[in-house]
Amino acid sequence: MSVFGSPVRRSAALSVVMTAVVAIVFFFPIYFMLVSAFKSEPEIISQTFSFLPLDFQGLGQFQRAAEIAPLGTYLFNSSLVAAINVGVTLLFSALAGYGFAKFTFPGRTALFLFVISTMMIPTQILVVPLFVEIKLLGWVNSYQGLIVPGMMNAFGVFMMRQYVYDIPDEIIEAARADGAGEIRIFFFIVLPLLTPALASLAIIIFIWSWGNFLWPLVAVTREELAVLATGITSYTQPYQRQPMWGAAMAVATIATLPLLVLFVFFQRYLVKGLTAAAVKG
Amino acid sequence: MSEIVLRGLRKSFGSVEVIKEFDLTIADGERLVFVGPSGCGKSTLLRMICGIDDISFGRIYIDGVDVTALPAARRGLAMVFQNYALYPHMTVRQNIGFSLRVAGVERTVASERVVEVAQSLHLDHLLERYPRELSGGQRQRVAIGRAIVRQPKAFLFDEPLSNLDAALRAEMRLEVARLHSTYGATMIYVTHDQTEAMTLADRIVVLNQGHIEQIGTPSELYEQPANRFVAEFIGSPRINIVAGRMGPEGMLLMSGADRQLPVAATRDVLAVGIRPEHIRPVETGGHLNCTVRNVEFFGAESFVYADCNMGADIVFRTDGRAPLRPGENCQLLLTLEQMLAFDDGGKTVPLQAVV
Repeated sequence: MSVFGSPVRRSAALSVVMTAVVAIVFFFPIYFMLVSAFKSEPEIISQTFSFLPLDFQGLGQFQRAAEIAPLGTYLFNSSLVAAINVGVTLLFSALAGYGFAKFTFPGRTALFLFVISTMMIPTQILVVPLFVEIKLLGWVNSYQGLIVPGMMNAFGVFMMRQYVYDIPDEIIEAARADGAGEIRIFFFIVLPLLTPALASLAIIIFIWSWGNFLWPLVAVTREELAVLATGITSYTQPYQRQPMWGAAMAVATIATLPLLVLFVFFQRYLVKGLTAAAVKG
Repeated sequence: MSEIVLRGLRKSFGSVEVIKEFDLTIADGERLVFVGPSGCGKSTLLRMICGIDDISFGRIYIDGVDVTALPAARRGLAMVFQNYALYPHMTVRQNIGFSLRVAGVERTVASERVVEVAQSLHLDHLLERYPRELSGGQRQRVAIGRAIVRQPKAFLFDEPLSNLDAALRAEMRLEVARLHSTYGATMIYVTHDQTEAMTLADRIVVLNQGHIEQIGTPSELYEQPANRFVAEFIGSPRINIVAGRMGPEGMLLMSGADRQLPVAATRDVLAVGIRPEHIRPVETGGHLNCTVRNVEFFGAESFVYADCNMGADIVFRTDGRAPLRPGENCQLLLTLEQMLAFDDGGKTVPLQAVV
């Protein structure tokens, strides 16, 4: 018997160590943000990193952040954009997914492939043409410009289609025989059966929308339309004033909280949603 | 109450024609059963009547009204599916009441109707349960309840009992029969199970590869099958089919038979059929000499499988315990009046006894 015990225990121990290392690597930036929100400005930018604030600021950085920029407005805008994006994406994804999964029409496969192919295009490439579009529509610096491009999501369509496939045709046929029209079947039969999938998609879209930085940066320049992700930059842009890393970290902490809460309570759905789209088919 | 008329119905999937020129009138209140092997088009036909599947050609009339172009929702028919197709996210009460809710029936009236139907199907104590909390038999009752509650013009059943075990199937068969006598609505029932067909039908339609082989009452199909397919499909155990032909003196010869049989046919014959209950073992003077191969004892009756040098074994039925053991020799007497003969196209050829 070796000092490390049996091979099974040794490999279990190894995987714990590996997990811990990876966890630390991923958790460290979050910890850095969290602890910096309670440090003083010189301490944050000093060469030596301290794990706990030496000069504890309390909620001082949060107060400063709120005084300098309209934090409430950022929060409101982020919430509004995320809520509308989640709601509309869910509806459109479920509708399109239902159509692709349960109806036969000419060009169905081609159309679906077209939708899926849009997932392959990086957002960065789309930013300029999208900006040209909203400019033509006169939507620059408006809620429409901020929100509408995020209301459709190819991944959502793809994911919903996979889930709708699993609903037996007979259930939909039974509803038809029961006298229900197509709209009613969608809202009363299909949608309720998709609830777990919709929950997964809602979380995925929320995270994406909440953390989206590039599009709000391009579409909106007025501060009263800024979201949290872009709002944070107003603390660090040196041409305005001295960078305020502490305030930025405080706002970043506030921005992260909803995601953390969401993740803690709904991680089951999140994991299910991400793997479902990967495995089913 | 309604009469359903099918005129020249056809259905193709791509280049494959699954229903070929189908004409049928189903009388008001009739119990009609479509029976046939899997893939014969019986379910497709039912789905076309219901309005779930499109029709390639032809017309459907319900009470004289052409409903061919109407969606399922507006045909006023109720369908019961093989796999129940209950709404998984709704309770039994909501499942049964869904069609009433869709139809905009007033809430209190609807709820009374649901309870009434649930009581008649012994489901009243399960109203708040979800489908996943029910047994197979209970689920099928709910599916039937969902059909009854809207008082449809006709009930369409698509192999509703196939997923149930044998005992439950017998029970539900009676339930369906009772349902029909209570509501009296037209009923079209699809099955591949001939017991269900024989016991539930006023008339049976035997289907094969998208066309009608024969339409008739259960006894007509059993006693006077139009062709070999129907003769073989109806009856359990299966009818014995052996090669046969007309002898020089108008007698029918069967390979392996010890003597010619005193029957005459009007046309050339290729095969003859005789049902297991029309054969009995005798001490002497039988038509066939056989060796018993196997005996199946069911209590009230036995099936005996015997080798009579005719290729396939001959099966016959005896009351109670058969007085025979495997390996024994026996003689078999055929009831010649009940014998069937088929020509080279499989059509039944009338036989006459030769005096």
